[in-house]
Amino acid sequence: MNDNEILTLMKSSLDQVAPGWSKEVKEFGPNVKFKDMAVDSVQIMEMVGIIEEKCSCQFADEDLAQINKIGDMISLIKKVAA
Amino acid sequence: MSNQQEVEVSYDVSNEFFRLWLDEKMSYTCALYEGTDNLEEAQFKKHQWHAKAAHLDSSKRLLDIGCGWGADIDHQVKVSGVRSAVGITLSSAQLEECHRKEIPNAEFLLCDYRDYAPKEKFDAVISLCMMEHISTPDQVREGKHIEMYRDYFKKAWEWTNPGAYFGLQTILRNRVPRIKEDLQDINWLTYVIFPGGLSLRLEDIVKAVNPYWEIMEVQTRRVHYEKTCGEWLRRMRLHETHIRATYGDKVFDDYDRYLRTCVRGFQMHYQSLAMYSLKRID
Repeated sequence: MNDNEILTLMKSSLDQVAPGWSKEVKEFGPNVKFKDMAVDSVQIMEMVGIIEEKCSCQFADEDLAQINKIGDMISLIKKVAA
Repeated sequence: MSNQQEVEVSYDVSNEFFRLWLDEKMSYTCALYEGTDNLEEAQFKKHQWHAKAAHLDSSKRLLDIGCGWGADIDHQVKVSGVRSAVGITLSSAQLEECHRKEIPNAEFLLCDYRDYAPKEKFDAVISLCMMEHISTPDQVREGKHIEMYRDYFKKAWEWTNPGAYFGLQTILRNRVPRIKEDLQDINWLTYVIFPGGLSLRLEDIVKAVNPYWEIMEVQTRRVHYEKTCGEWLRRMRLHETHIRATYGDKVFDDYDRYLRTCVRGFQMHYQSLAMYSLKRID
């Protein structure tokens, strides 16, 4: 998956857990921090769960502990789903 | 780091409230259920473990970082026989209880460890589940936590004499929940019951102790903490009517949810607990 495909996957997953989230967010790119988006940490982890299911993968807990921005999630998905 | 206000949210509901469901010495950390099913005996064994981890004897001067209601200092003075002890806490309610206990040869201070400057160095350190207050969730996510933990270990090193040992205990973060209700409960617990703090990952301790302390022993106690929290929950529920009448429905409901979340957290491997013996690198 390339970066755009991953961003699309993340957006569609967030649409499922936090409908309407994108109305509050002007930018959705690698440098955007999750804490600056209109989603909470529970919704971020729900998004992770959906991505794991769609990609048939599981992210290491120690890696999930460090995700701070969208770019971190992109790197993680590339690492595991490659 | 949890500030004083945040610490008071966690520990200053009321000493009488906590006295209802903790053991008789008021130890608010994982007990060690080795050869016993009794909470008081298990807490005694926990304190004994740390006495051994910190190599305590009558020649030693002990520092307790995050001393709670003084349970461990009480044990180490009266049972291990340390020559003197100092306990520091950011909770004024806990400090009040420590003073009420009138433990001989023990001094207690309302103090942030970052501001502490001992008059005399120590021969041993014990710190039970205080490190969880060092970094906020945001600081952990931003990767600042290792240096903050390392600074804590550096301070303990500076405050101690060569040859010192350190008995440490920390709650560990392990698996990240994937079940929505579990995520919600743990998130709630993190921000409502223990604001300003976050449990540690084991590998963070391994990184942060260097170059100050050598890990001599680590024991994980996940099932022991599940059992401890289960017993706290059982004891608290025995006093439900009294707690609701005295402290309000919210206090009972919040603490019931919190302790249930803890029990489930240990059952599901979201959390664990580790006890360490560290040796000062001289």
